[in-house]
Amino acid sequence: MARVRRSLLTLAVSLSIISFGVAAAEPSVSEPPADALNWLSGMRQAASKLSYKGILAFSRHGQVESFQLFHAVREGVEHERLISMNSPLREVVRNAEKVVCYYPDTQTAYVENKPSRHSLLLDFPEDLHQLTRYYHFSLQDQAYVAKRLARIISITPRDDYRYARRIWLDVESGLPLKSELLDETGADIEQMVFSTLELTADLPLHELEASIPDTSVKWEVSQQREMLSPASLEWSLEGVPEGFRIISYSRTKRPGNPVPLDHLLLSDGLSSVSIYLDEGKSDTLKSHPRKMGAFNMATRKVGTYQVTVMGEVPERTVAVIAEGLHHQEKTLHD
Amino acid sequence: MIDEKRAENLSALLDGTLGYPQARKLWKQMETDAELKAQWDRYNRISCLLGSNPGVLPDPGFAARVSAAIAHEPTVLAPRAIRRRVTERVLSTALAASLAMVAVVVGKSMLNPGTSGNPLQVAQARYAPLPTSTPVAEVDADFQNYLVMHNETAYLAGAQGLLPYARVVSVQTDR
Repeated sequence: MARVRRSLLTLAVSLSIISFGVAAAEPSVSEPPADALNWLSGMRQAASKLSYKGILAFSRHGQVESFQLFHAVREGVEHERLISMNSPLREVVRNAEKVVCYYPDTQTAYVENKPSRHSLLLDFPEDLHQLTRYYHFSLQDQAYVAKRLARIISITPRDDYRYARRIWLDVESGLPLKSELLDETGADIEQMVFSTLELTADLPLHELEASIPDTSVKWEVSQQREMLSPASLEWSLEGVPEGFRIISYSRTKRPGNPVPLDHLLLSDGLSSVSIYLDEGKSDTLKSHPRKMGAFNMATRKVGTYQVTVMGEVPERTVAVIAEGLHHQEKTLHD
Repeated sequence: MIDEKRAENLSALLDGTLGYPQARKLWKQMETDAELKAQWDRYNRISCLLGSNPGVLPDPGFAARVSAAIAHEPTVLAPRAIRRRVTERVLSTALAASLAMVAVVVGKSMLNPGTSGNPLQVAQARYAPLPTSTPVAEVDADFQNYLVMHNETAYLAGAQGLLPYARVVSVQTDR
């Protein structure tokens, strides 16, 4: 109860501060990065090099989930652990070799042996300058998040085919404390925010390892898809907005269905869109919504194919890509 | 009133200092203990305010809106999983309403249909309230699988933005 009493006392102090209207914006302080890209570059470095742990909330589609995050670098190797605090319980452990997702309720673990260089906290491209053709980056005010002073970075698309973002970066460490994905009207449709964040010199091993012994779980290994060369793609993509490139082209066999499913992933570095080319499906996906929060989908018939375009991009983006899909003998597209 | 020990555990859970086994036990208890859930809700509100985090602090009507939305929205479940998950979904719904949080509902991936899927799967769970012009209907397994595949590959490609793993879906094994 002592903790709670302390919290209530601090809350009273906080509320009194808020009542004077000085909680949100703070006067500028000197910080090394001179522009937004440098701040974001520092964010990538901080997220991968520092040791930290905290509690964060992720809000999406009107839902809020809470997570605990642990990150440390031990002997030059990144270790990261993300634990869901809501049912169904999940625990994700990442190291240099693999990503493993544990499900305590079913005593099951799924292992992904692909390179796991991507952080569980953030996933920004290394070359941020390439994004400036499609997004405008700017430094905004400062504000407190999780009782830490943060600098706000605004990422605004230069056209109507992508969403805007705002990121609160810890002035002291460079770590992202909060992020928002904003729709065309400026309303936030996805949000991540730390409620507590602690920087440490190191973390004990037990905080970085799964709480479930590996010997007590049933292991499942993710199935591999057949990766194809974009040069072999027999479709033209005429409606793809500038900046989106083919990231992967894969083919998946489906049990009970002799026709495989082809999947294209497009990305501009921040926003991603999937295209599904399904020759085996006779009806279009007509029974579900076209929009779910940030997620939009468009589907139509092209010859014997059902093509579906979906991603966390505005509705117009999936629509224009779907309309520009044409089946042809062979097309080289990048 | 909940006892002092459990109040301490709740506080420690919020602070991130409670061990994982204890945290798991506490979450299990909250599924059946309304008073404990209510206390957790209060602590969360305190924490949100202390964290200068009004953006994720549910307003008083939030839980009611979540409950109403859930009552009218389709269940995003793969066909084989529906029967098995009904009870859990009801429990999760009750928990969500009281805590102003919604548990993730699981789907089943065609990427690994013989088992349960893989770890890199989207936390696409339930629909947010839809515009009245949007038809609300059943979501088929293909759509769910498309979502799973999209988020998996987007994560592996490094194009997911912040907290990419929050989209990871729990795909349960058959019980």
